[in-house]
Amino acid sequence: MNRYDKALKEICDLDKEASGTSILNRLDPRLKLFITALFLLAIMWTKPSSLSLLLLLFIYPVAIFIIFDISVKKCIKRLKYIFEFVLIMAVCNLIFTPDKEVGFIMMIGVLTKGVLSIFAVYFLIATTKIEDLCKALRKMHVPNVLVTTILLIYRYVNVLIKEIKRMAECYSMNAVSDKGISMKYAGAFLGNLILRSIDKAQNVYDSMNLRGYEWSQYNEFRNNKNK
Amino acid sequence: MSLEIIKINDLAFEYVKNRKVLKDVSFKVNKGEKVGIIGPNGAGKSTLLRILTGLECEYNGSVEIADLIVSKKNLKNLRKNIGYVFQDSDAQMFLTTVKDNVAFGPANYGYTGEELDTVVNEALKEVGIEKLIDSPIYMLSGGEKKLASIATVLAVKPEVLLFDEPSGALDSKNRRRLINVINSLNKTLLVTSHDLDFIYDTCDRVLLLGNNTIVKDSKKEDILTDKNLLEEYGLELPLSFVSR
Repeated sequence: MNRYDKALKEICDLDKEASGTSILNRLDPRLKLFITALFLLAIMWTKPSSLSLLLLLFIYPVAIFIIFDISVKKCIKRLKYIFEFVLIMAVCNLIFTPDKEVGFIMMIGVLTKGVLSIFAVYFLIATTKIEDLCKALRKMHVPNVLVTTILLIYRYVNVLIKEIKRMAECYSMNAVSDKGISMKYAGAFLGNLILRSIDKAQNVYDSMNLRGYEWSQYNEFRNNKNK
Repeated sequence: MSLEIIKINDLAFEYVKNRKVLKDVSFKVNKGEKVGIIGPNGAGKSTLLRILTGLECEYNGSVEIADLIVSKKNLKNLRKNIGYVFQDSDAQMFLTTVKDNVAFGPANYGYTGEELDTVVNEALKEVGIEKLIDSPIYMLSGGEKKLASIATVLAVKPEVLLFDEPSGALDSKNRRRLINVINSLNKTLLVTSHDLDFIYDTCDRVLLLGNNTIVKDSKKEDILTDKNLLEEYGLELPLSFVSR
């Protein structure tokens, strides 16, 4: 299995987990959304320098990991690129803060805040199907355009990965000596990828509409407006 | 409802101004009829199907399906009556498992719980892949994906089924399986394909599109055995008719 197939499998596995039957899965998505939003606000309001307070917030993810038997290893593996990004941001704080002691505290604070936020969002997406999440957002009167965008982005991730796979494999067959995509062709590759993805995404959207998506509950707001 | 389920009169369509993709297209299809649409590349076969689904509504002339004019205001009722199987199965299989994809359409039309499970199981049974219900999409072969994409459409229980190049990229075994599935469907069918053997095996009547209009509308035997006519429009006799 190459890395593209692995990515597709990960999405599929995450979807399967989200469709599980645990208590956390069965909770009303609105409640989960509310708790996550509350937790994120708590993280946001806590100063990066208040390390003891931030560490206290770790009770929430640790409790969820233990009580609902969610794999920490899987979570870190799936989100490793996001964790890496948070780490880079945190290290930047250390580098660019003139007072190194303050910089160090800021680095730990940013790192902690980042990790906590990632865990909170992960719990939400690993235990709630994207369709249920979007329905909950609509029930909470989040604008239809935003909900549809979230739903479609999620749908198109598969399309994008498949398209990257096809193009990258074709490229590697023709450029045997290159490791990855050469900078010389990266622009054209990306441009083509965007054009092909738009085309595919349009087909996916058409196929959704042909099977009644336009009149589904995601679009209640728009349909009512059009009446 | 009359016996004629599809009525097209003087249809003309253009994507770009003054470059007609279809012109003077008129034909009728009776309920239960299986019609093949053939023609060279760019003849307008796929465009004709897109118009019938309402994906392209800016046309001239009249297009009616099940007594409903194809227009934006009728789309909801129209699309309940029409199932469109895309050339690229991936376009229809955007959710994780076969079950999720097949359930997408009926769920949008309000099916829930056991009722939803029943229509999903029925659709999968109709195409003979009920064992694949929980399979993730990325694990399916091309043939299985095609059958699953047909099930996604059957689950909505449409009156008319439209197939765009259904046999493309299928091996002979899966192609035969698809032919059997299509022949077992008790629906009105419109099939576009370059695979004339496939059209011969699945349809009773053939429309030949050429120069952006219908040049012949007749029984499959009349068109698919007429070597000169087919060659005139860039096609060849079905392989099964070519003597070796």
